[in-house]
Amino acid sequence: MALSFATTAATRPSVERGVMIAAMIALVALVVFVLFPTAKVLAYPPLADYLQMFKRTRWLTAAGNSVVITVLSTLSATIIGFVFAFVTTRRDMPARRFFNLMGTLPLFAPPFMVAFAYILMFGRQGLVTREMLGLNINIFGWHGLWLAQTVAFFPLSMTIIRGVLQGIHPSSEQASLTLGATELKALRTVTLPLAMPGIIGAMLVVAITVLADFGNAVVIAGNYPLLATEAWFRMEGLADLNGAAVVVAVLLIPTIALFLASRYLTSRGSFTTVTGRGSDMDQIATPLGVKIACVVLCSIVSLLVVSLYVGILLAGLVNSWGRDWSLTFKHWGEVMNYWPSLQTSLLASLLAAAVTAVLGQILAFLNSRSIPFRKTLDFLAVLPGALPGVFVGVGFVLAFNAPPIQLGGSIWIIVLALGFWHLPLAYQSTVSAIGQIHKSIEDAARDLGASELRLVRDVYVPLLSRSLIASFLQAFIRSVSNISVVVFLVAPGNVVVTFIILQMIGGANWTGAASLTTFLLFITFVCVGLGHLVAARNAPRLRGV
Amino acid sequence: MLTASQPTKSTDAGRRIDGLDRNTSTAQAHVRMTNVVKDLGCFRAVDNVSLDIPRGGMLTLLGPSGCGKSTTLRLLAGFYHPTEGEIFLGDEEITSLPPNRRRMTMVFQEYALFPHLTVAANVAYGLKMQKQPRNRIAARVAEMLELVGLAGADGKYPHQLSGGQQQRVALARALAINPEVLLLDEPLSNLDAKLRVKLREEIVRLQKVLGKTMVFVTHDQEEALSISDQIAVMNKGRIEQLGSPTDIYNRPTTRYVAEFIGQANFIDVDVAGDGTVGIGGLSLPVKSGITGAVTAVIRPETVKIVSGPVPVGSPTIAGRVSRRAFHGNMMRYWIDTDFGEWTVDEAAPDPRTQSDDVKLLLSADRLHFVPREA
Repeated sequence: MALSFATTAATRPSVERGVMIAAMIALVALVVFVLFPTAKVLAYPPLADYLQMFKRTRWLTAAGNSVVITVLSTLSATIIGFVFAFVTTRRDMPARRFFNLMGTLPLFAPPFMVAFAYILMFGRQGLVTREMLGLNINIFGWHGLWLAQTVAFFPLSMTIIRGVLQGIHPSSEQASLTLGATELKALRTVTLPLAMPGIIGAMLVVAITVLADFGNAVVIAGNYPLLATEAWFRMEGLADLNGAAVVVAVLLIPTIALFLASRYLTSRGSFTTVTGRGSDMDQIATPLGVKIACVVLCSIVSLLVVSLYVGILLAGLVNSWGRDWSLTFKHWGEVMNYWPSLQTSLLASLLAAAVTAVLGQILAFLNSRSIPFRKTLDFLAVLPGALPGVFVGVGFVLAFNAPPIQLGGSIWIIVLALGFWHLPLAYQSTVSAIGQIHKSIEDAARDLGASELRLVRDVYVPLLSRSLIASFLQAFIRSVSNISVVVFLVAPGNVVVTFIILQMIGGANWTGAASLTTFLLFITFVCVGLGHLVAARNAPRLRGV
Repeated sequence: MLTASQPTKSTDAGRRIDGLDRNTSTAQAHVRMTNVVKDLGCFRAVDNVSLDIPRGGMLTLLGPSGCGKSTTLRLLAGFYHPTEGEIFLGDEEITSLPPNRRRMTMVFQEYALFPHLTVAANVAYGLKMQKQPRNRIAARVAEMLELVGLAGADGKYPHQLSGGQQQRVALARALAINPEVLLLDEPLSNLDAKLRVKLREEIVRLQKVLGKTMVFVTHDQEEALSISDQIAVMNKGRIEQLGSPTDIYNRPTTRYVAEFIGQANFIDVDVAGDGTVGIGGLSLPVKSGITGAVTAVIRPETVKIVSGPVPVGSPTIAGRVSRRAFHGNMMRYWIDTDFGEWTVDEAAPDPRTQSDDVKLLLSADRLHFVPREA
């Protein structure tokens, strides 16, 4: 009854028509909303404009600055991330749970929040710098950005390096000791080299993020031109679309290079996947000096993390930052004045997250079928991960502000831009979830006579519901707090709350910006809580699959 | 149970030296543990263990998982420090010395080769830690790889080797620094059956050639019986019995040891005032001088199955064959008796039907008694 399509290789099992149609639709969607805007950006400026890149000193400075800050922030974030990963994976480290929490908290901060909080805490009106220490410090500039990006992005490297450190079997270190090495030597000659692939991988991921970081840069970089912010200044101030396109296109080159390097590294695998992990009990003792150094560093960073949340919460609760420290709830009450924008944010983010999650699942499922253009689909599904937010923003402006597809000014342009930009996160997590499903389960279903559709309904949907919900929530959190993409897309009809926060920060309305940011944080933590609840409820049922 | 839990080894059984066994108990102890206790959290992993390991001897710590054998080895290696008790190497007390200063090296179940180093660099690692000159290291590495039959593999990485080869490299690496004692933590458990036997023969060969003191941890009783000079059977953190393989097999001191090592059948009896027990219709003397409530341990191969008339003067019990399994070199029978289901092995199998009523002829010489457990 099933009509099979002829496939190129005779050995491939046939693909049912329904699957084929789904694949075609997915392909069209990816071409229109991923490939087309990308191509549009690259093709938009004439060659003469591209050559301007080498002539305008401001652009050259911006490019140079981007390189400098990327190197600085990547190094500091990776080193701190490594130390946090090390501390939280050693059995004999004090306060490891606390440091683990501290290393996770910045992940939930909206992309501009770290910079904003540090202006509040350490700027001219800073609670710490002026009120407590009586200093007059200008935090705007490369140093402020360096600090903000380091704190914002070290959790990324911590997560990656933690995974690698946990994969190192403790007996490797023990072996080193029984062969006569001291603990310090064992860490240096065994643990560190074994963690190296993870450290390099973390560096690449952090570098991509730093390079594309718009939120912190736009808030705290001040007069320090950078590629990511320059695109917006071209468009916002000068309505120079050509210039914006050139800048984001230039930004794309190093980002893609780093992205490919990171993919290559992951595909090559690491040393550490030898056998299962041993017990924590077998970890060798950490030398006292190392312990002290690590704990000191982690404590300082933890203070910075705490001050991040303290600054935002407090700024929403004082009468006037820097002038009148008496507490009030009035700014929290004023949040509701921005209800239309909040509504737009929530609605657009819900829809965008739905696009991300559903499309991610479909694409991940298609990836496990033998479809002729499977590799193309896979490439298009991971490609958005390599695109900086500002690139996607400019791309959607150029591609969908004019016929044939005119979406400008509606929430749909935001929905689609965010929905497709976040696609890799849902796609990749679902691909690995499918990888966990044993092939024999599918074979068993087929053997019992299930068609492709039934297979999806009876096997994949139930087994993947957890990854669907997880990627939905994650995409929602990211969408609702996104700034780098939406900043290019907002128009009077679709103003989102992050844009309003950005304007408030620019206009030094700090209490207002802080209370809206608090609201975003509230939404984020509700989603995180929901995610944990779902994970906890689904976990036992699907165990052993 | 009382004799079993005594940490000081050699009971009367231990002092009787079998013709088969090497006389090791008189040599001076190379490694000594005295009343060692180790608490892991609130769990007592090692409970009052005392051990004398003679120089050049191969001692096996044997027991099921969780019995404390690996913890004991880690105490020797220095990864754990005892809660109570002392450890000596020769005359030197090493209780609180770190692992890198103990002159003992460990070989791990999961090989624990350094995956980022070549085979040669792995073997050279310990020598480098000793800051030996480069040409000495090179010569030693070549010698060690030769010794374990891996000459020419020096440039390879661990993941390019089979499990057996990896464990050989691990042995070479451990032996390269010429440790006084080699500690082996289930080194063969990750290998397949054939390779396991082959490599264990090689470890015994190395041990004899190099005259190294070795402590070997395993849960495999057959492995323990075949390679050891002495076996310490462990249970719940204690040494249940310490003795030669033949002692452990033929003269277990507790029912636990008898059950853990090989197959055994049991009869609960009471020793009468005149030092005899009544088994199989006969009154037999108990040689070991044990009294009170005892359990007779009867190994499957010491029992003869008889279908016809029974010779006079032999202890005999009645039974009925319920199952059988062909093992190639023998036939194993499960036989329902008044004392529960027995296992009996017959070397030259003579097939009989299942419902056969049989007589089981016990060998009076090979009856062994242990104190009865509550």
